[in-house]
Amino acid sequence: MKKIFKKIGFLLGSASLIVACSEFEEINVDPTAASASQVQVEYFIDNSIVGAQQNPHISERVFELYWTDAGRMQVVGTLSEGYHSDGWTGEYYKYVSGWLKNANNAIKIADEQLETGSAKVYTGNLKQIARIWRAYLLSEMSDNFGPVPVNGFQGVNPDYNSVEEVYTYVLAELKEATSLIDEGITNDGLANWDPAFGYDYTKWIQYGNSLRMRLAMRLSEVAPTIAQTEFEDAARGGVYISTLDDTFQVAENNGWDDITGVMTRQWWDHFLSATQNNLMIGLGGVPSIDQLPATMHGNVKDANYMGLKFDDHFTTLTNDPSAGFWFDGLHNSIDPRAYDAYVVPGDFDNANYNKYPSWSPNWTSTTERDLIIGDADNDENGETDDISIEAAFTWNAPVAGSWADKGSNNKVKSWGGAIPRLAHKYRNGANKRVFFGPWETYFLIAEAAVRGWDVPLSGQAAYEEGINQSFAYNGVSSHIAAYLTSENYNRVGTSVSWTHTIEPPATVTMNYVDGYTGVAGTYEFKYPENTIYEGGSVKNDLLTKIITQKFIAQTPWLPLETWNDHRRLGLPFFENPAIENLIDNSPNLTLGNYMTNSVNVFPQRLKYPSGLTNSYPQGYEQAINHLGGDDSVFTPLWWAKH
Amino acid sequence: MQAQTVTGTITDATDGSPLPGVNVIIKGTANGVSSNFDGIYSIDVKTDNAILQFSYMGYTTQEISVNGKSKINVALVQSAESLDEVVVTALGIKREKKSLGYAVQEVDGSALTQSREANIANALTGKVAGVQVVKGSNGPASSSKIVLRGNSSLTGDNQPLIVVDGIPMDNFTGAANNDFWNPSQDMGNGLGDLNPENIESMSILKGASAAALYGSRAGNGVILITTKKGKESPGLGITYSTSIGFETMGSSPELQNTFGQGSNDIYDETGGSSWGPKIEGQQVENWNGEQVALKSYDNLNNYFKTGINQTHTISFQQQVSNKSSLFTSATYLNDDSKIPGATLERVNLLTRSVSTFGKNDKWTTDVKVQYINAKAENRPLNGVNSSNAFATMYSLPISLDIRDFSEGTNELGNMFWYDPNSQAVNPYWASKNNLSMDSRDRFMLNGSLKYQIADWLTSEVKAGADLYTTNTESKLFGGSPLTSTGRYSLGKNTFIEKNYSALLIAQKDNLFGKFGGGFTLGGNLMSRESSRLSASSGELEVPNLFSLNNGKEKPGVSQGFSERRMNSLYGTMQLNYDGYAFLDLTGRNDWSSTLSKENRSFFYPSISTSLVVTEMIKKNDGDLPEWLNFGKVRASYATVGNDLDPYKLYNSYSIGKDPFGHTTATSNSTLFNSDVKSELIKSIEFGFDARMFSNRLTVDFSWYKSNATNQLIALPLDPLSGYNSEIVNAGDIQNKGFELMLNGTILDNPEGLTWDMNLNYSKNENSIIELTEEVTQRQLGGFDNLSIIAVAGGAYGEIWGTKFQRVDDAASPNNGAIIVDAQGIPMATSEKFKLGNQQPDALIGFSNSFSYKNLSFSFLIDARIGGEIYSGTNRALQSSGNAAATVVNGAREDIVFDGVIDDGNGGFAPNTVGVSPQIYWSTLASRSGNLGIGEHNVYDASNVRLRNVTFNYNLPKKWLVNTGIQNAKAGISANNVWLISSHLNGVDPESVYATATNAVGFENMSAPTSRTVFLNLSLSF
Repeated sequence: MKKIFKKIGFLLGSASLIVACSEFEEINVDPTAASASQVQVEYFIDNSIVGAQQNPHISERVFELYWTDAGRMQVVGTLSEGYHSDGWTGEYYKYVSGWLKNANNAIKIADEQLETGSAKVYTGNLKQIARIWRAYLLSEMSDNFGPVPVNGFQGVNPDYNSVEEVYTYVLAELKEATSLIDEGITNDGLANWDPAFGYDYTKWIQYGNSLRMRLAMRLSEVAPTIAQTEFEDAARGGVYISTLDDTFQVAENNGWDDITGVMTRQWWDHFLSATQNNLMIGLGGVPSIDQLPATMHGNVKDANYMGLKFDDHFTTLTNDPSAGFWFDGLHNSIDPRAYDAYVVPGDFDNANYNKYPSWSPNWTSTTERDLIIGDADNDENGETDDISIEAAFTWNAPVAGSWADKGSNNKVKSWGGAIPRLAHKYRNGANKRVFFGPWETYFLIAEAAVRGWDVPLSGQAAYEEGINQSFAYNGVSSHIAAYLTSENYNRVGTSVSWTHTIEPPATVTMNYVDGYTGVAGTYEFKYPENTIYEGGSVKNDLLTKIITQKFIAQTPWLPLETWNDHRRLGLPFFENPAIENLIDNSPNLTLGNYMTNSVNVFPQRLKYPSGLTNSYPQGYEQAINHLGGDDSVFTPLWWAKH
Repeated sequence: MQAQTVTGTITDATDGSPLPGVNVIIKGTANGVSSNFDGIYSIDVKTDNAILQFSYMGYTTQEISVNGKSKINVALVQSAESLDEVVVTALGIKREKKSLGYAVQEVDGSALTQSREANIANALTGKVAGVQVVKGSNGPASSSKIVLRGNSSLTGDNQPLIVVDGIPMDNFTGAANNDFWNPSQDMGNGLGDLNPENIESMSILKGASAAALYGSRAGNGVILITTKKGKESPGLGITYSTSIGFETMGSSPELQNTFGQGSNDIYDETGGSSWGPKIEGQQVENWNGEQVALKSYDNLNNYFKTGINQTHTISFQQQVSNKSSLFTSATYLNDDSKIPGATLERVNLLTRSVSTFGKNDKWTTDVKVQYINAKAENRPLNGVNSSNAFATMYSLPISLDIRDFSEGTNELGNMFWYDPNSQAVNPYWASKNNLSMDSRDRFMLNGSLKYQIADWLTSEVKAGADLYTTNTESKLFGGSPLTSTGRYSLGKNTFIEKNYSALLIAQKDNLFGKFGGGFTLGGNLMSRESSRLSASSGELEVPNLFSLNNGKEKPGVSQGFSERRMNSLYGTMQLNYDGYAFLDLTGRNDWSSTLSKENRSFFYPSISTSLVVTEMIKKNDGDLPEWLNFGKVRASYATVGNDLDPYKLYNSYSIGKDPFGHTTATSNSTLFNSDVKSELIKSIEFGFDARMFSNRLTVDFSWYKSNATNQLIALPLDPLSGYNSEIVNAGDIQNKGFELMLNGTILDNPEGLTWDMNLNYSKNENSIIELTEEVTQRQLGGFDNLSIIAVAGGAYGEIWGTKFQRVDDAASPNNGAIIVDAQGIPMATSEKFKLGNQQPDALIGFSNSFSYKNLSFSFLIDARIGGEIYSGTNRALQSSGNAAATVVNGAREDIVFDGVIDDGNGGFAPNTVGVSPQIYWSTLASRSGNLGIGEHNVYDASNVRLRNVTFNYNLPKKWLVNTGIQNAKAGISANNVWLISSHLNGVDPESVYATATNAVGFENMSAPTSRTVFLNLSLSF
């Protein structure tokens, strides 16, 4: 028995060893995690800027599916037709929060280092740069959703602020942060952690000021006094993005990571949009034959030619002024940036002719397509009445929307080889994504001048310099002189010349050919009425000119800004999508009003994601109260046209 | 005449397992001992002519004269009168079932191999009350998930702990990412690595009381698996068995075959849907430019081939000497499934030897080595993306012939497809060019050494490990919409769990008068470590050169590491009175490395009691009705837990690289809280067992209620707080239900026909009593505009989505009518509503087995009653015009939906607007989100199926004389034979989207389920 107890005693002894958990604390420290003392401010800034370049997962959802559509850089029929996906939005909400989080982490770590004395000489500057960048991200998020918190990232669910509070906050942040950067401090060894400017402090100050001008101008309609004060203050010293060298841009690649080009996914067509086409046709009056190689001169049509009319194959249930026609050639004159940013169908030898998707060469190499009449022609039914369209060396941008049977029978309207598509240089991941170019600064100054604000340049000088910068960016500067003085109207009745503000005539008589019969006729072309700008009566005032130029100059990088300008001013003219069938998600567009523009048929914002409604209903309620309307795509933001 | 000591081992005559606690008495005296844990006894006898009496509940008592022998081994035969089962309980201790105060159900190894399921989890379907097997439909190496008595946790996978021969085994399940768009591959489940043929029995410890000794690992129940040991066999002891299986599509969606490719009734050779013209044999130009007659094709049947599964097993088992036994087995399984390209190959080797030695055979060793290699190729790709071959197949226009694309590549080496511009991937191309492989080498080892300290006291030390390495590789060739040059990735996961334990077992009957009792005391040291390394080239530079350094960018590398330990002490105490009243107490204290010092230690007690009423009456000279053979009532209460994963206490930063190769940092997405505690599950259970009519009818009933509190919830935060979620202890999840098992021997004629019938019925109600103060809903899974959530005051696993807009005005004559838009199509609500609940109301298993001489036949019908599922496949088929529902009476007339339309004056008028079926169906399928109006495709998930039919024939012994063959058996078995009743238009409700989530009420374009037929042959030499 004694022996037994001894043995039990031994077991109990070993049991007490079990209870000794001396190593447990050590084991539960993640060996791959870093502590606050191991991380550096620049690691977070870099992460935030690189993240905001949008990897393909998020760029498809936000840049492509939402922004290019709402900003009419291409039309995919999402927001522009009232469509919204909670999934896409939820991802964007999460991503943009992540970028903001890292900007805030940078500021937090900088503050900690400054407090504990472990700061480097440049830590203070990095903090200001993080604040400038955070201001941009906050504005990006707010411009998409509306009310967002300015005081987030404290580890608790934040309070939501109104759009007005957000703008007040970011404008103040930009003013203070730009003033606190010390340009005399070294940035040695830091360049790698700033993909935009390599921590060139001057350029960050320029960006901070230009951004402040952009955001101040956003308030032009709702709070003109604040807009003016902030704008004038930001522009006063002339320290802003004024040359191509100052551009805020980040190099892209073509794989699958954060900096992969936002337009590199091959299944996107990036067709020229009807909106853009109507702005560019005739604008600046530079003849196509001066722009194109001689081989294409034979395809260039007369100035008053409208195209082939196909009533059964091209919808006219839209206020797109080009609707109903197939333009079977090249336009007599067009904005020189058109042929640079988009490539003529059939121009296969052009290095910028985009051949995506590479796995189906037929999509871009075939240019001949049919308009089907009755059933598709074949041997059995003996039909031979389909109309074959050769789309090589033609220039069209069919309107988006619902085409119903006209769409089913029209094999040319959305065929890769038939419609001009964005140049390969923007698709191949070898470009730099522009966040802020010099042209925008100038167009902002021009607009400020038109508003009578006190700015360093005259309206005309700024306007023309904006165009000049944009032409330089597109490599078409040789046409600038003729362009600037042109009084030619584009398809929506706007001309280039600053001094030419005469409104176009109500109608113009154009020639056309009936596509079915070949019979020539005339057509009373009517300039569209942009009823959300000055009641639709003004098409060629200074503001329209500026925003028209700004729209073209922002192509293709800044669809968010073209959307913002349209929401703010109703400029430039955005046509309504076709409604052969009514569009589900855009209930305000009807057969009774499709010729009229109204705010409630254009997308105004993104709905908040369901993740927010489910997990933080109080915050959602705050946000909706600030929004002052339904949480819908059609509720205008505070600064937008109502 | 001298006094002498007689020793020996007492075993079960049928399976050779040792019987502990057998009473050994010298006849005519009160002197006696009982056998120890290993069935070994030792007794001193004084006279040479003494007779030893061996008695044990449930076995026929044997008497053996000593006659000078010092060693007497006894094999006791189970008595027919009172089939008193012995079952394996926690810590592997065999107990008489009647003494248990909780439900334990044991499944015999032969019952598990009957269905020839490669994944043993599937073999449990319908066999055990209270067990739900959730199957993934992902090919031969798909995962299946076992849920015991409902889900107790909001996070984790709610899988029971699997213990093989006393050593826990990692039972990971499913895919790491169950995203709606691009989920990762279903990597199977850990249990699927086991070879069913090596299993002697499985004990399912469903409730907390049964599992309480596993403490914080027992939150989701425990399954104990005992592998085979060598036992005496006639002949050589070698058995060869083989089976060949044929796999075909089980249930497939109902498709229309009257309307061809195109849209708006117009043929389009590149169109992606079947909204084209009526198929009337008309000539059309096909995708290839050829003139062909328009017709419909049975593409699903043409695409899925007949899968072939073959298994070969050679096993050897023998009592090699009177002190040592050996079991070895080798199995090769090859499953070339019905899904083109998807295969599973598995090799299992197992050796187990048990030896007794030392003076009086007081020492025993038991050593097992098990090696597994499981290699799966081309596990199916799921999700809403172009790589999902099933999605492509389901939406393929009816008038296209999939076989036209079987070449995959064209003369240029590129993928070809009917619509050259679509992102879709030719599934044949993918089966040859989008390749993945994973191969797991796994060792499961254990060894134990036992020593009998005294006849009533045994000690045991045990060590064991489960260790595996999984290598993964995937190669995507260029030339398709996925990539023009290809992609490559390579990865490796390792896992090691080690356990060391010691146990002391004491057992003595008639301790004080009629009281008997025992105790066990033990401890365990557990450590677990896993690491992961994976690298991906990204898009390749040189096409189709699969090297990590051939990427356009630098290869991406990711790593993972986690380590945890748990120390435990546990003990049990049993008390019995006169063999009919029993009381068990258990306690376990765990110390976990994953919690803070203050919260690291936690104690899990249990108490259970059982009273054998019939025995009590008999022993107290009462009278029992003739028909009642046995009756017992029981009750128990226990607490168990679930602890935290490693590294979830303290906030930190992570370091990464940007695409330029520069260092980046970020903070984590979850806000950790160092004050959190382990989850606590409290459970109460009552039950009774009865046997009647000479044991021909047995009834076993359990009622239970468990409440899982202190849930470790990652509470969602607004990401603008800096974190996506925060870990808190909160909530109360309740599971309440009952289980009923009925077993009847209807005919019992050993010479003629016997007929056994077995019915399992279980009902579990899984509800959320509380979440947190702030949060009343928590998402278990979200798939675009459909979510599966846990709702406070509601149920676990409610399906929420959009509904049809209806008139909500009790005063209106149209109250409740569906509102349509101007086109005549029902409108959707913008909010989400509860549409159903993924939980079944009841699960039923009904099996019958017949035997007549050498023939046996059995079948199993199982039913899932109640609960709902969202069917994404139905939605996709409706949208593409392939669903049978899109054609009515062979035509597609405009649909005038029976609804009302807003008359613009605050009232409603009946809808009179007709809309084309194409617009109607495709609008409903996309309205309010990618999954359309949720209500439209939520279905009753009830289904009844003939799960399994088997037919076996034992060749008569006389045929085998002089062949060297001891035993020969041939048979046929078929699985998933007939879906007798279901409500998803042919889609199998068992093809759930993802098993690794708790959101299993969702189905979306997975592979169709399979029907398999096996031919089996087994020869013993």
